[in-house]
Amino acid sequence: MKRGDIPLKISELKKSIKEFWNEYKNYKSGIVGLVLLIILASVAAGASLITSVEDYNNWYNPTYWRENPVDAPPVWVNFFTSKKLPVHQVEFVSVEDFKYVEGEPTEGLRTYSVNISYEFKYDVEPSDIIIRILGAVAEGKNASITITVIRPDGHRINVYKAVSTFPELVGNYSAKTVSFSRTSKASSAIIKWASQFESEENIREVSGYPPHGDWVIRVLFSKAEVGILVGEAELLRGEYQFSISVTFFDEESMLYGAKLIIAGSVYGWMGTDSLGRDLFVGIVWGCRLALIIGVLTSVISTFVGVFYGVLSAYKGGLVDELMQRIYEIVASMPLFPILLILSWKFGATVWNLALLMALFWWTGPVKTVRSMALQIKEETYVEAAKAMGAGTWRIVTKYIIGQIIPYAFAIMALNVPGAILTEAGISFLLGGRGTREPTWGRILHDAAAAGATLKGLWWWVILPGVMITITGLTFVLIGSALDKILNPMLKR
Amino acid sequence: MIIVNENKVTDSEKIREILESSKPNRLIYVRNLKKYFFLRRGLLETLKRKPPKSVKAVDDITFDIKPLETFGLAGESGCGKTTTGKVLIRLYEPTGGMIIYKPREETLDKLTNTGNINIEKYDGYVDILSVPRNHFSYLRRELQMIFQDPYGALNPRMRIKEILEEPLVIHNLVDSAEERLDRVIRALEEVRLIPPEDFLDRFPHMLSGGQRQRVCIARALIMGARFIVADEPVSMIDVSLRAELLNLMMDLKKRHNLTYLFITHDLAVARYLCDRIAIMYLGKIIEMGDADDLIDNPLHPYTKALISAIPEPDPENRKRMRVVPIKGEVPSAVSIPSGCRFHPRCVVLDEHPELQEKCLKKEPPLIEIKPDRYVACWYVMKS
Amino acid sequence: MVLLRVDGLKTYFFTYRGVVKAVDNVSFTLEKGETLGLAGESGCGKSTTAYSIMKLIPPPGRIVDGKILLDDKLNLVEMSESEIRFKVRWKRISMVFQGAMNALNPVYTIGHQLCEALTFHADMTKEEALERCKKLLTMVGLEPDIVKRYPHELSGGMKQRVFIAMALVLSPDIIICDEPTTALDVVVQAQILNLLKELQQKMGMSIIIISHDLGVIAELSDKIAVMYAGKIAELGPAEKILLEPAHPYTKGLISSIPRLTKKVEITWIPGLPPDLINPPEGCRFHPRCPQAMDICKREEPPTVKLSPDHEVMCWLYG
Repeated sequence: MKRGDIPLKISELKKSIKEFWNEYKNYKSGIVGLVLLIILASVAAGASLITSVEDYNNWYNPTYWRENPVDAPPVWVNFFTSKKLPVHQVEFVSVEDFKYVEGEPTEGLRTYSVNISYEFKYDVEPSDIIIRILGAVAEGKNASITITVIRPDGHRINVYKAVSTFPELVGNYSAKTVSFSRTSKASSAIIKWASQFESEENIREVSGYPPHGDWVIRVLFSKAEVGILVGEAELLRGEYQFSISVTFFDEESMLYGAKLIIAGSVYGWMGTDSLGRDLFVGIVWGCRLALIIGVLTSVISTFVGVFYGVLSAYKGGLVDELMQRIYEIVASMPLFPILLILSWKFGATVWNLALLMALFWWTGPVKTVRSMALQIKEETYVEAAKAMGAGTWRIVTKYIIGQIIPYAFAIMALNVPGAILTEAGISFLLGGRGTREPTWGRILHDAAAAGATLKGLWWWVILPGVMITITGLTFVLIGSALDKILNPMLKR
Repeated sequence: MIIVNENKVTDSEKIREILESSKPNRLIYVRNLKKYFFLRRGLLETLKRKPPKSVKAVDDITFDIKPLETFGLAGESGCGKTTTGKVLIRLYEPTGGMIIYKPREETLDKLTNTGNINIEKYDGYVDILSVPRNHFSYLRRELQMIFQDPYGALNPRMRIKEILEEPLVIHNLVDSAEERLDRVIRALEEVRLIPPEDFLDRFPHMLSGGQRQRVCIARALIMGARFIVADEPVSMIDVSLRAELLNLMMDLKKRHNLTYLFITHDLAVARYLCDRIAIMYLGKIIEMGDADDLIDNPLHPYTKALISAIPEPDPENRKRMRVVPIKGEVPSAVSIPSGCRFHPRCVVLDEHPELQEKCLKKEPPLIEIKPDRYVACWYVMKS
Repeated sequence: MVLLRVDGLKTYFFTYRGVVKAVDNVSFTLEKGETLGLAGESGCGKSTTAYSIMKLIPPPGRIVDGKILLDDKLNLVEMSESEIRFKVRWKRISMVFQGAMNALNPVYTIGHQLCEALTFHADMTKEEALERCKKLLTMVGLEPDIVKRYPHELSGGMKQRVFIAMALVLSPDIIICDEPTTALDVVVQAQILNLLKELQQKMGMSIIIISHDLGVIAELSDKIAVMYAGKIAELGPAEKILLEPAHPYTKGLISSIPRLTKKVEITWIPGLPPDLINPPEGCRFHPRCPQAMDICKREEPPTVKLSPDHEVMCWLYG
């Protein structure tokens, strides 16, 4: 007579998950943690959907970000200010809309020109004016670019006139970017023009300023009167015309178009940094990186640590003594400095760093796990297993570790924030020598290096910091709840 | 860590000697079994090179167990009975002595035919202590143990089905999962946990004490046990349920041709269940023989004291003081008294001071006073 | 003269799984100088009864109903915690707990722990207290200089004696012993039980002895109450209970004890003790009773008096 095999596996698993869930949902803190985790995990997983992979890959390519305003706070800041801040605008004029004249200004040359107008009607000037010429210049040749600004009060400013190639690579084209605040030629031209309206006194005052930066844009949009250079003149509202002209010296070079970018004062969900990088992109991808590092390190180190502790306890005697002494040595090593040096040496990707951290982190659970294992070792059912002929391996894995695993999960969760913070610390200190991915720590490093706090670029510092905190909190909440449920020492 | 092991490999000659000088057809011959637990020495003592102190849990005992018998090992706590049981199935490595055992033929075959080691045997008997540890698993299956605490003996995180499958998995006894399940169900039926399907999925804490103990018994049986050491199997079970479990054990004994070593401190249960009883005191067997005879006619002063100390549910008992002919308390097993280890507590010695010489100086040997009736006492030997 | 009267005692534990009716309508009396044995197996409610008398029931447990009358006057159930502590506990009723031997504080000497009770309750100076302690120790058969020793230096039996001395420190009228000999060897057990017999003779106190071992109960008890599932199944003089039991449970219990002096067949009671949250309908013992009748499954049996001092809770007699 055959007996049917009773399908236990799946129903068994479902049952135990159900039982576990019933207990877990009693812990409000755990639920909060779980919700946060789901949010973070979705963000991390959907990073390529929320932002683009291209954004991520070009993180360290400054030219990619030239069109963004630099050091711009997030858009939602506008809710809290009374002043109307200019919105970031990008206007693209394709080559078809350019006036094309051959033989201008002289025989053998070709010139494209266009006038782009901009209505300035805000209370605050834009943070930058960027003109980007897109096209392709033939090998060994270059082009002449002229930019003139015609103000509503009729003044003409020859902002830029130079001969160059198109050195930047943007997509399929090359580009030449002129930023009124950052390109010194342009900013110096504006300052020089404004000086004719300024008092001697004020001119002397600004002679110490660097000849580029936001203040130059203010000058451009101010009324042509005394105080223009020191920001005391009122803003001039009205229609501004940007006249762009590109002259090629050969037949092959071509123009694709030009972009006029009025860099708003605010940008994006989380602002931009000194390179104009959209911090939202950095933080979203950083989320994925943080979770990877945190979870990977934690999982590896917890498993190693648990195994170590159990083996040490089970073997006992000399082996135990030896293992404990080794543990003590590793545990007393100053983790952070060593990690710094190792990261420096081995250069790092997130994966390297996670492994290195795991190398030192495993010591965490060892002592507790060892004492738990010592207790379990003495239990009668372990003796019974030996009497049945179970070998050391089986007893260690099935009987002892089997009992400790639930507790190990709690430990794992609680270790994650530590790993994330350590990585953040290392990236913060090492900067470019550390991981190359935009982890939150790295972002913070860049902020510090650019003097963000001094410049008042709070969003650059606080937002990544808040993310680190929230992520840490998530795992602490989950871990505490798990601990309360699963820790056999707290049970019954 | 000091390893003191007098065991040398027992060769077949030695086995033959023992067999020829002993009673025939026993299942197990225990000879001069010793188990000492050595205490850690302090630094000073180690430097002074003093020999380590030891707890002489089992101090040179010799006895036989007949096939299909229930052999009782009784005594108070600390007398060494549990340790003896554990050494007998080699859960502990003894400090010295031999355990000559006759396994099933198939087992002996497997033992001798696998590997390039030479197992010393004679007439189907081997000394299980000289079987190398990595070959011991065949014997393991025949020599099993049931523990005192049925809850502690079951892994609280494993379901009953898993617990019972363990031995099959460890020893690779069955090929398919189906067959395994089949065996498990049959084992549950044997120990009267019916319907078995009800119990497969449960965890130990969902069973009563008696039911858990039955699972432990099933676990021993499923491996094909032949000799079972039962260490106080009913002492943690309610009184009114004990007989049920004991009855089951006896039933299984008949059906599976088992032999039991029944360890207990309760002489009444020992009398009820056992064919023969050995009384232990401080690591030595001081009296041994037929259960009824030993209890009705105890010879050793200690046995007499034990028997007189046990209260029966007789309402007259409250009207008088219970007379227990014994002095003092059990000494520590680290400092065992000289000569007869019972002498500091012996009231017979007080009455017969002329025995002082012997009792304080020489340890009395275990002598066969009547056929199959043994005592270790100078006074009894004299009379 | 009735010293202690327990009337309709109900002690319930309110757990998240349900209400555990650990003691459910228990009544008995205790005379001066008498020994009552509370017999029964695990979970029957005997320890809970004792703790109820001492008013030491921990939450989530509570005395829900009933009276515990001392001298037929003081109702312990209605007294406040501080009243009980100053007037009753240890002065009139004291207790030797189960596993008491492990309850001695390892960092204080025996003398210190013994004297603590004296200096707290009675107004004695240290010297007076010490003297009294030494006397008590001799009374329980120990050397008086044990006052200087620490618990770990004593054997199990000696520790138990210390506990008995502790219980006697204020010369109470009633001492409750909860499984006083369970962890002790049979010889030491006999000695402790002898000691209790001796002390009762000398000091004339009443004893409530709780045990699952009917042999231990028989050593001391004049009167025995057999408890099952929170109720008293049978209550009567030792002779009746042990030799002519009326209740099927008592009968089953007694015939399940193996005898030392003769080889008898022992039986067992089939089934398992009931769940105290959802006990069976009617008589709680009916699922396991060989003589169960129809009415047993429906209605709880009344307590029937077979003689002035012998009562049974069973439909066979009602």
